[in-house]
Amino acid sequence: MRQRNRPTRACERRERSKFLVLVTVTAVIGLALAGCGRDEGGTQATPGITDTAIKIGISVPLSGPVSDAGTAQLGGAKAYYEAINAAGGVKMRDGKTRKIELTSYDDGYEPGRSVQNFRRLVQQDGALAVVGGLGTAQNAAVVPVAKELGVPQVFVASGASLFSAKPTDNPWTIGWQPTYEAEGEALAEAAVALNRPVTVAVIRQNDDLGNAFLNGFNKGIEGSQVKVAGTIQTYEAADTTVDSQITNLAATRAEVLLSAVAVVRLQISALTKARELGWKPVVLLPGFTQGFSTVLKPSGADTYFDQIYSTGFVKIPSDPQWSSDPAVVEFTSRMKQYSPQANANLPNAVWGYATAATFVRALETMNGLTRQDLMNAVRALKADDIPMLLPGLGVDASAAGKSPVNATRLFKFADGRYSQVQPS
Amino acid sequence: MNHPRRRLRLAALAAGIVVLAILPLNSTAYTNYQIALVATYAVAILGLNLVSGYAGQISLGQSAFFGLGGYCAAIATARAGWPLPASFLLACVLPAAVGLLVAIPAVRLRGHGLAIFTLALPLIGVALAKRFNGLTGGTEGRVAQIARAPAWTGLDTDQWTYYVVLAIAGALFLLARNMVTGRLGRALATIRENEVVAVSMGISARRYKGLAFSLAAGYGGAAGWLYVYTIGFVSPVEMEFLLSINLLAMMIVGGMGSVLGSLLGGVLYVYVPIVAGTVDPVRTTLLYGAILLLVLFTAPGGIARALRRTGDRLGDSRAGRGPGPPGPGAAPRAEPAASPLPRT
Amino acid sequence: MEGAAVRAVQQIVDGLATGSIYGALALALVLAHRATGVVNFAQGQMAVVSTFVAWSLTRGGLGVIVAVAGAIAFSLVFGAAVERLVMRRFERETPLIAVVATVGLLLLLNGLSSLIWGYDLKAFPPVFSGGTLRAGGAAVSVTALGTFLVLVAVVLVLYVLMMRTRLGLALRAVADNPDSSALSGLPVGNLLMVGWGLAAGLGAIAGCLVAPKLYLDPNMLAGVLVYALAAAVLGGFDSPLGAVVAAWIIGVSENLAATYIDLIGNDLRISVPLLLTVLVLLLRPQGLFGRREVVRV
Repeated sequence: MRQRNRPTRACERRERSKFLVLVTVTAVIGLALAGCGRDEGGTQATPGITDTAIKIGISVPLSGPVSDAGTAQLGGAKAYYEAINAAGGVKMRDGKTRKIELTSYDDGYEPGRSVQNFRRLVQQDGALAVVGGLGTAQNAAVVPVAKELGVPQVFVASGASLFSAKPTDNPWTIGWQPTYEAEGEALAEAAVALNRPVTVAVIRQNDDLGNAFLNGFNKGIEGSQVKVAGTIQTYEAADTTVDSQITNLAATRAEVLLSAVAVVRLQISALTKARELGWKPVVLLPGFTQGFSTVLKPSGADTYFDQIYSTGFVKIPSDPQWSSDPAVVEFTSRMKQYSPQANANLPNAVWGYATAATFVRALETMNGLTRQDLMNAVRALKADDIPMLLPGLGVDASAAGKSPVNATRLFKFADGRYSQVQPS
Repeated sequence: MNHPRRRLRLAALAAGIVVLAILPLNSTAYTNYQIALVATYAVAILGLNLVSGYAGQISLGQSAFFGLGGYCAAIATARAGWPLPASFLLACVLPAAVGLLVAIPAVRLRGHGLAIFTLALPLIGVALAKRFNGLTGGTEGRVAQIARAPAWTGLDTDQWTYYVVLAIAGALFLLARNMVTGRLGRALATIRENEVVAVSMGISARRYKGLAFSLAAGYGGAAGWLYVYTIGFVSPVEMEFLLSINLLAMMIVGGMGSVLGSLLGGVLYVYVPIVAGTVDPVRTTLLYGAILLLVLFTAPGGIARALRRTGDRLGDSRAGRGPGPPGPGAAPRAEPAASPLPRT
Repeated sequence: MEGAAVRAVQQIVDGLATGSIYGALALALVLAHRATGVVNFAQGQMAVVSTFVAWSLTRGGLGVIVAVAGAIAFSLVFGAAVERLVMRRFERETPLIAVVATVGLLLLLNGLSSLIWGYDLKAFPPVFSGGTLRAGGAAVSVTALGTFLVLVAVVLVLYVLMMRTRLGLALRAVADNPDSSALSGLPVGNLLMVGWGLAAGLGAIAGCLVAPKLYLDPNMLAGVLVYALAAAVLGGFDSPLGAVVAAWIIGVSENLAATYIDLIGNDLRISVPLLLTVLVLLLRPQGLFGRREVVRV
């Protein structure tokens, strides 16, 4: 083995100078970092609000499998805010009119990223509030952080009841749309109204959404002649078909089918299979998979089943009965103008738009400019002219423990369209 | 070993440690948590590297162990009130035990069979997490804010979290480095090159592969614990197959069979989506795939290996050796001798 | 037939139908592997791209059969191009790197599909007419039956191609021993391209067959991929017939397990094909229909 010689002096000098460079660089970095003040983003008296602008944030899935829903949600919100800005801005109680600056981040539908996006929006971007986030687990992860930082996490676009249920535990968080329980309960009306002993076959998504739906349904049929058939079939959102599940349900020969399927392609699969098997129950569909052109026609359900019921709380833009409704016309044109790449036919676009409108209303009724003032305004908010909500439905965030929009209507499908069922 | 080079490396390391130590005192909680996340995912990728990079056994199941460790943290500490060190131990040992169990069939499978089997782990794991929703919180997930800075430190929670996570991650990295530069690393390298030869040399392929699986699972679980410590939340998303694929991809891009590569993988995992998001979030998937392919085309050994090669080449030329076989001036790499490239 | 028996038969029929969907993709996987030894995680995505091409052709006014033929032609070239430009680089690397390369390809193609065609579900005109056949109380859709029969036909055609033609012989030679084949004068590179082109063509057929039922979007075959992989592995990754038979077994067994074994139920149904595959491999490492591999040192 070769003798390890002592390094030459030139070599040593070179290494020493490299060492000095390293030390200098470290010192510089250290000093630079010391210069980055540890601004919590909340030391300012009225974070997120200046004399001319209001800064807010939103975290939605913009990449990955549910990115179309996230893009639509963001697009709807943007369309509303931009339209308000174009008309001058939000007129607030202190007399000043301010424009809204919306910062959005992608969370890829991962709860860890939603949490970090929230911190980033608050601590690096200095947002007043985070509005209209999408996803149950994603926003559930943020709830304790909102509480810790004292930042409003408002109008979460999820039907999970946890967001609005405990205002004293989670004073900084509130949901927006009707809960999945409320939807299930509304559908129960249709079964109860049949006024005879019937069994209901149920297929539901294997998660809290499906669970909540079923709980609401069970609550709605309590004490009536309606019973849920023995085995409840479940499915996963990633399943290829639900043929097997429908086959099992058809074998029960139940008179009513609660097809609580939240995925469009699987709802088509379910209704098609029922039709192929020659099973003709009364069909109950949830709001997200009821569309005529998206579900009923492709599966042949529109001409096969005698009775189809569903729920709704917003005006569906593609529904012909709203084609000349001024709010819908305005929505469609604003979406085209400000968010052309978002799919305006997805319910998320409507939710994003309506939550933005609700938030602006809260801004208008704020007394003061702090985050607490905003939260007070939100909790006291009552408005019955929020665009895109069905006639007669309004926002009432003061009803403690309930979501701000807490009612959903029952619809029956007949003659190629859905009509509201008048409560008897 | 060439002394000035070694001194330089140690100096660089010391400088790095100094920077990391001061950093949290001056940056926002967001930044501190981001760095803690980098460390967390680096540990998960390091575990994967042990079984896939060093031992050459494809594993698509690392996310199952990650999620399991996370649930250990959430259920043991947040729900059942176990002290933190106890839940950390559980988060390492339980997944390691599962990994050992899983290894029993796994070491008898090869290539595709192994891929399918390890693929089954996250799929079944997610289903089980949903099924036991009373314990796990189901798809809504479970809040588990288990990090709390003790009063005597005078630190904020995020700073404390930063130090704890980095310290644990650092220890795990050191442990891994010692393992792979020692007997385990050499045995795994031989097994990876040619299992039949290894067995004929007296190396029990099954035992070492089983050990690698168990270690990988243990590291994955530890990373899951660190994740919950940082983010304060766990849900079935943390077990999903997509995470497994991402960890594998970042391991390859960072550097297969390289401790440094695992760290790079962690950095990439956290920051590539953010960078892609500033370009155009809708095109993230496209960019991700393009970057992956680009790195694979230009540097299949990963970025760490490419960096090392450039570093060595610079070192050689500066020492006046120019092109030619590396002489004693080239420091031997502290990694298994065999490179993973040639196929048997 | 008795109610319970009808239900069981229906589950089996449904299982064969779903299994045909898995099997169609599994065939493409097996062919790509036979040609180049790579497990192509992007096979499903490539099939989806070809199906989108067919969809665009139907929107342009072409009839569905012509559009599908056009898509198959496209996919032959597409598959060959992917092999030459992307996979050629990784075929000699470790299986791990090759797999990750196919994952990169999957992401790239997924991103491209959503960019060009968007995320919303698209209806695909069925090759077979709608309508249901009923026999003894069990019902099967014409589409499902058609898919099943096409699958059998494709397996037969592949068998004839691989075993009875010179091209098939050349493809098999290159798959078995590329170096010897090169020495024997076979154009190895071109044959690899042909292999992947054929695999992509099979993928196009698979995509166009299942799109009417599953509805077309960039993620249409994402869930199917896992099952197709399991089927290919169970079958031995060598034999097209093996892959298809394994796919049918998987489809039927998961339905029966989900229906009759309460412990498994619907949420754990995916464990059935995966664990079945592993069990078989432990007892018979070459899979149901594969050839025993001998490793020479």
